[in-house]
Amino acid sequence: MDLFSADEHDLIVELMNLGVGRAAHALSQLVSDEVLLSVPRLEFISVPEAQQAFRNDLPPFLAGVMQNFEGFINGRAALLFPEARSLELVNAMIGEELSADEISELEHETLAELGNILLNHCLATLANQLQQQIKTDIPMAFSTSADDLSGTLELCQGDVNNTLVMLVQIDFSLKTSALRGYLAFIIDLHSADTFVNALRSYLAELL
Amino acid sequence: MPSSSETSSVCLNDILDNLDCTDLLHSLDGGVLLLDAQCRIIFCNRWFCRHTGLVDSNILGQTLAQLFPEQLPSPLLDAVETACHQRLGRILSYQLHKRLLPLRRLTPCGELQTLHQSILIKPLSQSDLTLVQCLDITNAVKREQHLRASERILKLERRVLESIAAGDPLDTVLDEICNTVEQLIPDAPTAVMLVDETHNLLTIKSAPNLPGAFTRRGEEMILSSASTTCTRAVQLHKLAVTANIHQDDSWSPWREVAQGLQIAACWAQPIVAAYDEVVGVFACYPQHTGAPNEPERQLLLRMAHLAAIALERHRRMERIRFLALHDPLTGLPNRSLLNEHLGRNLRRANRENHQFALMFIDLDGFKQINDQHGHDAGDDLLSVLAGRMTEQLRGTDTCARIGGDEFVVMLETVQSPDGAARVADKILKCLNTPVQRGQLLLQVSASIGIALYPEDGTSSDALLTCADDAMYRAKANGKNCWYRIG
Repeated sequence: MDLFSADEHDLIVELMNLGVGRAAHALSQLVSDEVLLSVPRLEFISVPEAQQAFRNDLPPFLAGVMQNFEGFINGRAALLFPEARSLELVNAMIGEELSADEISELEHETLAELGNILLNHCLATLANQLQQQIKTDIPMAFSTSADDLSGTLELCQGDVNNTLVMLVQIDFSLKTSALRGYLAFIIDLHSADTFVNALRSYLAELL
Repeated sequence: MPSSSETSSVCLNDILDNLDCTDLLHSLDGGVLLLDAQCRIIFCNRWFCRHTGLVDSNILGQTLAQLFPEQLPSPLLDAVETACHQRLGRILSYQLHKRLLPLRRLTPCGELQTLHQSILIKPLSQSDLTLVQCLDITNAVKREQHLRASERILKLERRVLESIAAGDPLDTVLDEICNTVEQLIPDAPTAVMLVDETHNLLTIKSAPNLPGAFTRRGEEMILSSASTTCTRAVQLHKLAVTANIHQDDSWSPWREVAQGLQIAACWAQPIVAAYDEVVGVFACYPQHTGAPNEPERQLLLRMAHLAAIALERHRRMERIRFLALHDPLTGLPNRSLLNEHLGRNLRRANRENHQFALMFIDLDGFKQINDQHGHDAGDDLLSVLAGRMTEQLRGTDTCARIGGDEFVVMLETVQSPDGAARVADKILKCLNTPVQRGQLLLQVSASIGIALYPEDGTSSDALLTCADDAMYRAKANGKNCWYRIG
């Protein structure tokens, strides 16, 4: 999708990296272990392309955290992991030996907080740097299959033609484990104008 | 005319319109706070008052930081501020924040118990208020802890069972059982003791983390004498507990050793095998006084059961091994075990340069006993004669039954040919002595061929052939005598 120019795209990548960097700092303090996060890839795709990407690129079973946001952009954001490894991440974070085979009530909640910290930092950094406002709802943890993910994220709920998906790869490295997750931002295109304008004025100030 | 669902939705709307929200929030089973943009509490429900012990007049208008000064963790304060100021929703989970708000509840026993909680902070849309929800997850935490503890035991138990199934040596398995319990009950070294029936003793078989000074005391534990914790477990067939060894007189002989190891108590769980037979004791020596709690009792019981499985399997394996290498009628070694002993003795004799003797023994007149008095009589005679022969030998010698009425005796060392001859004479005499069976007197004799290492042969085959040939010469010389070629 050519909604954004190359410069604008680069700026978004930079802001996302800044956001995950802050999230990593916050997480490191919380778990008293060094958490490193990086964003190797970011792309903007349409809803049909996103549905295709979910089926092709994501592991078949996913655990995730979803959060609604509104402000200068509106939509939903989700952090997604391979289901089996999400438990590993939670256990590495809380420093306990992996025990139960299934993700429990408490682990769901912990995963929700991890996603919450990450998504809040990404969205807040984006908003603050662009001098905009954003508000986030409380997070919700879920488990789903890659096939049902579109439904879970309510991808087709609104106007499909006016919805844009920002799919971001995100790499976690902890002392004891490393894994790749995904961030999906489902953005209502009615709010895209404000987004583009905000990016443009930010870039204009740099010049 | 409106459909029924439309009617009900109209009714529901009516009800909702007239609902007292405050009342609704007060009746919730969970804490609810409403904060303004400056983080000040403008509403708190009854649950929150009940679980903080505060009245709402003291709460309202205050921030959480003012309400509980120096008591709240910074992630909670940060989360409240980002929610109120920046409008970002937050969840604070129990596993990442073991301590959040100072909430307590009265237990049925009347004690104040700190609540395990998680907190949701939601900026409300259409207002600048923020909703804080406190969830009591004490029961979920308990369930989870219970689940984790059980899983941990299961995992360790599985490791022991795998070790048993893999046929690991008994010592390895018992050490593993001890180590398992020591992981689950810290600061409490353990030991497995076995009942020695012949000597009426309890002896320590495994105690990977107890020093020799302590484990040697087991040799003194005579089951029939004054009772100790462990002997009581054997006698009573159930867990025996000495909550404080310093107040138990039966512990006085070992008090000093125990003190050196900081052992304060002793819990002894009998190891019960099939047919309710106590074969040993699983002993746990905690470094604190007191009796085991219910989970610890369960663990001792389960581990003693695993030890019983390991011991029974070990016994069965020993039995199978015995049967494979012994003659079932007389209990003497069979040809396989004879070959094993012979091979070992050949190497040793060669290395240490000493002599040894092999005797091939064939009974004279045994066939007639079988023909006249039946096979049962023949079998009984063989058993008695096998016992008599063994009595003539040293413990290191071997007497094997290698055929119907054929035996081979190996004298582990002999000083001279005369030594072998003297033993042969004694064997001839004991075999020739009649055996009483009911009214009958059964009598046979024997022909013995002697071969000496190294003069008559230097290999198993050569020695056996030589002794066999010599036995035929003894038969030819009139039986009831021995012969040596050479």
